[in-house]
Amino acid sequence: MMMAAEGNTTTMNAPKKLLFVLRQAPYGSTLAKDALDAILATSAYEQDLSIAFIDDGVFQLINNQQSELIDQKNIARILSALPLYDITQLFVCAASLAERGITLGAISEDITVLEPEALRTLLSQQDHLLSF
Amino acid sequence: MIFSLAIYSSLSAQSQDSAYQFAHALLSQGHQLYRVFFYHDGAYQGSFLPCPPQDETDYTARWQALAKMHNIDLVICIAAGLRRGILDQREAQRYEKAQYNLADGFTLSGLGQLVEATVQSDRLITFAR
Amino acid sequence: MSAILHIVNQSPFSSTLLKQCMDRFNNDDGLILLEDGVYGAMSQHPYAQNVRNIKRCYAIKNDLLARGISLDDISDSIQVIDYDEFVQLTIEFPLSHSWY
Repeated sequence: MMMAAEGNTTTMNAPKKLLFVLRQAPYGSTLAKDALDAILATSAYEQDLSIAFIDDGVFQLINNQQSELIDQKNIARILSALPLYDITQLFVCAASLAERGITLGAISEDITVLEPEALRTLLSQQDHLLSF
Repeated sequence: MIFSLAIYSSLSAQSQDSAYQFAHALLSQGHQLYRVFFYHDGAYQGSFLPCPPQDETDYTARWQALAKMHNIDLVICIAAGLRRGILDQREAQRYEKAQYNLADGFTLSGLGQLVEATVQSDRLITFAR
Repeated sequence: MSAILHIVNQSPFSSTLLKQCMDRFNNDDGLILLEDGVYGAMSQHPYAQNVRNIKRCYAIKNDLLARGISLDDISDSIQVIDYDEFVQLTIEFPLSHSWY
């Protein structure tokens, strides 16, 4: 079985549309952080990568996280660094924000807010959904 | 059709068994299983040390047997493995640990293996919690 | 637009996962209930009517029977399947998403 080396992009064909669906709150488990690690790894492979924050995943976007108080790496800070990795297709579920009473002022502004119909369309237009 | 599986669940979750049932079914239908990638708590699958009672399933042994029969690539995320104490001989030396516990048939490798499996496969099915 | 096979493994009596999944459901999508998700095949939970309205809804037979859920007690709209059929559905649907 062929094994590509880390960061090796030469074995890849046309870019695939990959959507990471992030549904987990940031600190209760390491799943949110693990998803971000997977996203950063994916950024090295020149795929058509995007991220959708839905359900409790929208809590990852809240500004003013002081995660050092619970000895955790700051998820919001990692998210703010995504443009450095050329990860710019960020989407958030409007209904999930509204349900939790989160206003846009409380989250990062470089993100596209999707109404339910647009979110359903985004999900259906991928080659793979990565569920976190 | 080419499949890869992503497994994030620990030994206590039924989804461990579901993932195996799915892998077994797809292989019996003649499809290809390109890679099984164990991430997050799924990394615990890679240790040969768990000793379940004789009347319970040894999940690691079951994956090993399936991998041997069908030449499947079983990859433990190295970062997830190291955090959880799943080491091969090389990592044990690197971190100056006296023991290592990676089961035969599994390899430790980077998250790029998940990306590569996703891109190379027609289907990626996730089993978690 | 590709149809999505949604895979749900939590009980609707203890989590809103099933609702969260169905909120993102397109008309031609499919739903598989497995593990504790098969409690979603019962008729008493808050989203049971929504499940009945799904055209292509499936539940894993062994997960139902293991939990003592009689196949007679679940909605007629839900098809009971085994893992061979599960694999076939993941081929038929171009995309899958696991809700957990």
